[in-house]
Amino acid sequence: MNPNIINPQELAKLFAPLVKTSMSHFLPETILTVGFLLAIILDLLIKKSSQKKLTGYFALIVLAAAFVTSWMQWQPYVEGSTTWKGGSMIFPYMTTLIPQIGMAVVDNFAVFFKLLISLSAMLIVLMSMLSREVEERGRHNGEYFALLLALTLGMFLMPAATDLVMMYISLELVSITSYIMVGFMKENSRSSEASMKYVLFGAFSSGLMIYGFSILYGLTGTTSIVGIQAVLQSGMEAHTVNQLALWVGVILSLAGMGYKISAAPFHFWTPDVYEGAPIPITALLSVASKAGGFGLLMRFLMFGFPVDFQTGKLLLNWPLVVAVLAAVTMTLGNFAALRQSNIKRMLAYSTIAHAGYMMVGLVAVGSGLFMLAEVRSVGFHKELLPHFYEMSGMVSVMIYLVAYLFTNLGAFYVIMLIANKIGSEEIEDYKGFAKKSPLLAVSLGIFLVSLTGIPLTVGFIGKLYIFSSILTADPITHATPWVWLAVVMVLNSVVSLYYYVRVMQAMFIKQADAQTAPLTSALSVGPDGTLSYSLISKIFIFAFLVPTIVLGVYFQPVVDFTSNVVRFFSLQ
Amino acid sequence: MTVGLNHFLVIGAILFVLGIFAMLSRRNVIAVLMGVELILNAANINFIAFTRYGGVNIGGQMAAIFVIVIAAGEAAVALAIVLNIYKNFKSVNPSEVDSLRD
Repeated sequence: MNPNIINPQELAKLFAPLVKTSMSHFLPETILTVGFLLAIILDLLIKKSSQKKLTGYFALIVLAAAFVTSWMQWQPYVEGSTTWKGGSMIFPYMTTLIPQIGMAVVDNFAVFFKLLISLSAMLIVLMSMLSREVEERGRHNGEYFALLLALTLGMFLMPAATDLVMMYISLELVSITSYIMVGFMKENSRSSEASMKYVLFGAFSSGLMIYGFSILYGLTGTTSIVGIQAVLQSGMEAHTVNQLALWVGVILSLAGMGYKISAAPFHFWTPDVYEGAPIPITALLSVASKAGGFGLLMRFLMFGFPVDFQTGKLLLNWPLVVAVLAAVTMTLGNFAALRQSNIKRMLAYSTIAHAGYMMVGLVAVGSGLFMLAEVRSVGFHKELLPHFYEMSGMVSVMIYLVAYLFTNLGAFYVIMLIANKIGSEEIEDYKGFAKKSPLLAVSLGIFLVSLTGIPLTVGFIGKLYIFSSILTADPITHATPWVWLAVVMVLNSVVSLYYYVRVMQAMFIKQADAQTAPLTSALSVGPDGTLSYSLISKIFIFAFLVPTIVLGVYFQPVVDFTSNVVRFFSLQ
Repeated sequence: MTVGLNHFLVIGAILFVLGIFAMLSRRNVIAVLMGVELILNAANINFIAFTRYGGVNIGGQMAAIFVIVIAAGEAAVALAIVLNIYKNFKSVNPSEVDSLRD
């Protein structure tokens, strides 16, 4: 018998406790997987297409369970605690290189994104139940909600993945499911065209990404990003790592992640897909899938290529690349949005611009790492740290994502309600809409104001934190290297005001004329010419409107919550 | 001359470039999807060659298996979408299926 083969019984004894603890860390994902399978069975059991909505309620329960179990994984930081670990690996394995690495990790960073994603998925399920586009395909509604659960599972794994293979699988799980969801309205030619463009762009960029991953694996001999960091750390000193090959690998990897967050030059799919997809799916792609992409990208760059604490230098100067891409992305998005006539298309370009703003926060993450190394090199400055947490780029990106969640979902929800009645998404057809439905017009106005980033809305808080993080001076040299990026961002915010205001002008100031689209159903118009909406769809607006305004004034809880996440990283 | 790591990497790079060329130049969606398969297989060749000649662990071979599985799933979904495109547009040429534009 080959002596190298370990006795299976001994192996089982060794791994049983590991699997057991891993499964308990994997509870939210397990719930989603089981829920997805049960939703398919439920769909088969329901015969009448009018009752298919039951699957939606089931999906809601599963998502709520995933939300609660993710919440229980949250580990609040206790001042002076020695047992506080902040995270644990899922499915760890031993190597000679590093004591313990795993496929995924449960830490506050991943938990934050899981909470954000499951919350937005729940809102999307509710939104889909009120959507006319989804309702028209009644017989297939069961599949729709089941796929939504699979999509959420993929997005849960994205920010938690710490292994290149896991990153690829989670990204593809999200991509493949969203190709189907985008083409959900099969008979609609716009929807199927959008899904074709999505699948071609998606396959191209994820192909580039996996090729980049193969190069990174070849350079470092490991697929774990923690391992990559360890190898680079020692390899850089010994000059055994080829810089050019490393750059090629990283840039190709960024292609796949940049496509997920729709950063230039991988943004071409965004307007077409957002315009063709059913509105709830557009909203989901613009918020949850982008949040997952940012989680993945941040972990890849921060864990894989952080600062070398011995030399105080970045292992790879990625903040510069991200800064250039950020400037290009927001400028491109804002200027293209100026000449759009379809509001979904306009918002698609605006989400590209918002991805650019969040990438500015990502640049601040890089310079924050740099500062952390410097603070450590002069000894641990305890009084500097709280300031460091609150102003760090990571906190700013997360605050921005929270702001973006409520604002953007709210805007898409109102657009969906309007499209349900007037059957159009053209800004021209919004003329005089304030008279037809004052509540919808005012709330869309507030969401657009928040997207611009005007004070007293949550959008302002998001932008403010991004600004302060990028302009935070180095604590030792007092240098602020990214002033130009902040200037580009301010100018872009001014440009964005123009196209947001154009929608408000159409709604509030202009009068409806002969060219304005007529109402599709005469029954929905009240005696005084106003559109009537069901009570539930009106109440649901406040689920987005209240956080947009309240968090714009009272935002300290969000800041405290997100600061907890960063404390974990500083312990490493 | 013995076959070494470099030979495999060169084949991988050639496949990768051919795949990108096919994706950008073909006028049929099916051919574009074949380009995707070439790119993925280029990555697979890299992974397996690095594992064979690097000899640190089997992570690369594991990655290649996952890539194959995902490629199959992606191809299935993509072909279903192409069928649907043909039903709606009576064409599978991406430049003709272009009603969504600025």
